[in-house]
Amino acid sequence: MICEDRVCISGCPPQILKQQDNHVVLAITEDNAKKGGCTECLICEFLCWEKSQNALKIDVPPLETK
Amino acid sequence: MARLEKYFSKKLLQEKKIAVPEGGIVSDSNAAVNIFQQLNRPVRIQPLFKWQTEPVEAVIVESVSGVVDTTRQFLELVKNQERVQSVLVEEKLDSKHDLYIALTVDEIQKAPLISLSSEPFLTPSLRSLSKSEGLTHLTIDLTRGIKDFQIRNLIRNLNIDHEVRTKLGLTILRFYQLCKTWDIIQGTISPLVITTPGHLVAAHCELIVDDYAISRNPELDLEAPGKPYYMLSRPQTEYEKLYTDLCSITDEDTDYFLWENVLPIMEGDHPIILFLFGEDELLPFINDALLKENLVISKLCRVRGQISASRLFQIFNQLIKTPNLEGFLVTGSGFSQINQTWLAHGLMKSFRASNLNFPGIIRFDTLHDERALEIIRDNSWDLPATIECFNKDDSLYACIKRLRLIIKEKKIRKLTVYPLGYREKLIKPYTFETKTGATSD
Repeated sequence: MICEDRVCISGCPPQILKQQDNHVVLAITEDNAKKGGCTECLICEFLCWEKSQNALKIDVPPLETK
Repeated sequence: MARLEKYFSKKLLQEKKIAVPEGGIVSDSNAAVNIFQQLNRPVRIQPLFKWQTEPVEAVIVESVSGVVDTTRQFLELVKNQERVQSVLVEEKLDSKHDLYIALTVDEIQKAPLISLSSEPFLTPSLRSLSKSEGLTHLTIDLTRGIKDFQIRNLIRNLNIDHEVRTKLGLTILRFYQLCKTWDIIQGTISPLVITTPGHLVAAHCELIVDDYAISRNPELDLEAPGKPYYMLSRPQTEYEKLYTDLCSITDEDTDYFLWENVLPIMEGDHPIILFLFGEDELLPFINDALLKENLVISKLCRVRGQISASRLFQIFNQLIKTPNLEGFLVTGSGFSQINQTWLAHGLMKSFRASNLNFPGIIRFDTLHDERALEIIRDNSWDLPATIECFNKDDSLYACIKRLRLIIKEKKIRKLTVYPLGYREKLIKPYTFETKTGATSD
C-alpha cells in the first residue's frame, strides 16, 4: 500500500512532517515534538482517515486518576 | 458548595436561639456517661463520620451500661474504609408532631424560598420540594424581607396549638436570618420536633453555603474550594481526582474544571454531559435552560483557554463513560480562541473510538466554525446515534430544545464503527511521542 496523497504533510499546520525515502517522518526532532512542536490538533490522523489510506493512528492514553 | 458539619450547624442554630437537643460530641465512653448522667433521661447515640453522606442509624439508650456498650461499639465502627471520628450523645426527644423547614433559592424568581411541610423532604432541591405533600411556600422579596402576615399565611393550614404556632413563626424567621447571615443557599431543618410540652427543637439540620461565602465568612472554618460547585463534605470522587490531575498537568494558558452531580437523578429527568469551552458566566443560564427541558447535568467539563484535540479527546472519552447517560451537549460561550476544527477532530475521534450510542448536540464558536461543522456533518452519518451540530448563530435555547427532542426520539442504530487509523496489525510503524503522552504511528 503506497500513499501518494501525503495529506498529513500538507495538512499539518505547524509543518512538522516531511517525506523521506518514501516515508513520512518528523521534520523536527523527536524531543521538540514531545515538548510541544506537535500541537496535537489531530489533523494528520483525521485527513488520512477521511481522504487517504487510514494509515495513521494516534494513541492517546486515557486520563489517569491518582 | 460546601456543607457545614452537622454539629456545627446546630451550634449556629443555638446562636440564633433555635433550640437543639441537649448533649454533646464525645470520643470515649466516660464522657458519654457524664452527658447521660447530666441529662438524667434516655439518650440518642449516633456515630459521626467526616465523609459519609449516609448517616448511620442512631440507637436510643436508657441505662449507664447501655451508654458504655453502645459508645464503645460505635467508636470501633468502620464504614466504607472510614473509621468513626466521634459519637454524638444527645437527649431523646419526646415528639408529638414533626415539621420540616427548607430554604432554597427559587430558580425562577431568583429569590430565597422557604418551604414548610409536615412530610419529610426527599432532598433539599426545589424539584423534590414541589413533589412533597402538605407543603406551603414563601418566596421572599430580598428588598422587603419577611413580613408577619407572610409567615402567618405560611403556617395557617397546620393543625397545631396557637402557642406553638407563635413559636413556629419565630423559628422560621430566625432560621431565615441565620441563612441570610451565613450566605446559606440550601438549608433544612428536618425534622423540627414539636415536643409533648409544646417546645420546638431542631433535631437535625443541614446547611450548605456557596463557594464565595467561604471566603466571606472565615468564622465558618471551611476548606476553601479550588473551583465552584466543588463539594467538600465527602471524599473526592473519581472525577474530582481527575480534576486535580488535570490541574497538575498545567497545560499552558488552559484552565480545566470537571464537576460531577452527586444528587440522585429524579424520575423523568434525562442525565447528560455538558462540555463547555469558555467562561463560567454562561453556566447558570445553560443549567436553567436544560432543567426546563428535564435535562440534568450528570457531569460537566468547562475549559477556559486553549485546548488541544488530544486533550479534548481524553476528557470527552472519560466523560462519556458515565453510566446511564442519555445525551451530551458541547457548546462554546460565543467567542472562542480555540480553533473549532481541532475540537471537531477530537470529538470525531472520540465518537468513533467509543462507538457512541447516545445522541448529542455540538454548538461551535466562531473560529473556523464552518470547517468544524463540515467535519461533523460529513462524518457522523454512519454513527449509531444522532449527532447534530450548529454554530453560534443558532441560539443555545434552540440547541437545547433540539437535544431534548433527539433524546426523546431515541433513534439508536445497531452499528459498529471503527476507531480512526484502525488496523488489525501494524506493519513497521514509525512512532514518536507528543506532549499529552500520545504516540503517533
